[in-house]
Amino acid sequence: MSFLNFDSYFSITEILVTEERIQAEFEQSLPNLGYLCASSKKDDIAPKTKLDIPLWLADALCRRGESIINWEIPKIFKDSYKEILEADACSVELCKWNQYFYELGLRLPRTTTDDNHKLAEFLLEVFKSRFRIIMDSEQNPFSTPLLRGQLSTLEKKLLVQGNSGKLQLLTWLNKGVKHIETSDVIDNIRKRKRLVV
Amino acid sequence: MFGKEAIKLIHELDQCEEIKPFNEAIFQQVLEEINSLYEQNSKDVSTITETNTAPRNSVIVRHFAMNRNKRCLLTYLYHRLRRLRQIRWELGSILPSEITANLVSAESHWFQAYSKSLATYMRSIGEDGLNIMNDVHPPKSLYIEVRCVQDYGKFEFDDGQIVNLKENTYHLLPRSQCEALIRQGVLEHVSS
Repeated sequence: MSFLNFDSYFSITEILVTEERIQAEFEQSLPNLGYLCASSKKDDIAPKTKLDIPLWLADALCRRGESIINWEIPKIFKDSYKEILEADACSVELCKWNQYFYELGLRLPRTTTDDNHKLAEFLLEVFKSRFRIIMDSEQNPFSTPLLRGQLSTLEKKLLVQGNSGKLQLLTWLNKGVKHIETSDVIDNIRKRKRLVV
Repeated sequence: MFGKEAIKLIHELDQCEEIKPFNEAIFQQVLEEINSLYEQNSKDVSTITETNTAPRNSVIVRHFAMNRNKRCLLTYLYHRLRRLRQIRWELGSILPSEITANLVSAESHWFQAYSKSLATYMRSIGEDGLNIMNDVHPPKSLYIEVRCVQDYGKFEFDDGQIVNLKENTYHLLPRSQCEALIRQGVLEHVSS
């Protein structure tokens, strides 16, 4: 299972997750970077400027010993949103909050170890309670289209994996002669040809 | 913000599992962005003194931005190659024109080199070589029934026998010979 292989330099998911914006306040001035802040016309970014910066930048700046920025936790991980998830995690449309809800939570810059621990634990609880509905619809090939709108990217991947696993089990149980199939690549090319014609 | 163009390349990879036409325009833009960041940095580095350390922060930010852009570009190239390699294993060394049209010349060169290495390896197994593309799944019978989906023309087997593959004809052929043709979409495996 490589759904959460975060360490890979070439991971597409990781790059997309770290593109999410978080709000940060600069503690020191940054000369000649004023154009990053659309509302100001100055050349420099002054201390105490608030700016939405991508996670990759925030993370890199936090890792250095002296802090250049102070970042704020995204609102979807704040207490009010936590309460919604604690009430009933299954009915939340997680992908509308964030496509990469779990990954983002795990990827936030390091703060105090206590906070990190709490957030990780919270994410695990959310996942546990939602995992049951994923499992249910995996076993059922006629899954409701409504459910797909609710799931985050990670959960969707699990669902697809589960469905194909189920299918593989069925074919194995049928003990059929192994069929050789046309490659997916060719299939897709044919579909497109049909569209063009 | 930095890296806006670079992320478009990654989105393109994420949206579609196939090899799309190489996005030369955006690729060049990202390279230019890296270059301009580098120039600004080399300008700012000279202004850092013991009393004026502020430019250092900007240099750091730009440095991370350059690294980020580099990572996006490399990921773009890497995943295209991965997909190309996957296709090599599925379709063999001759690619359909729909795919070759989307490759840049460096990628075609890589593909040829990869095919060559693979062929050399397969020749080196056993006494007279082994085609490891065959029998991906263990076969249960030596002959299988196939239907011809498109006109292919004459096809010669290893033992010199020739069969004429015309559209909508049925044949009973040795499995090992026609596995590649089925995956290329010329034949269709008919279940008995």
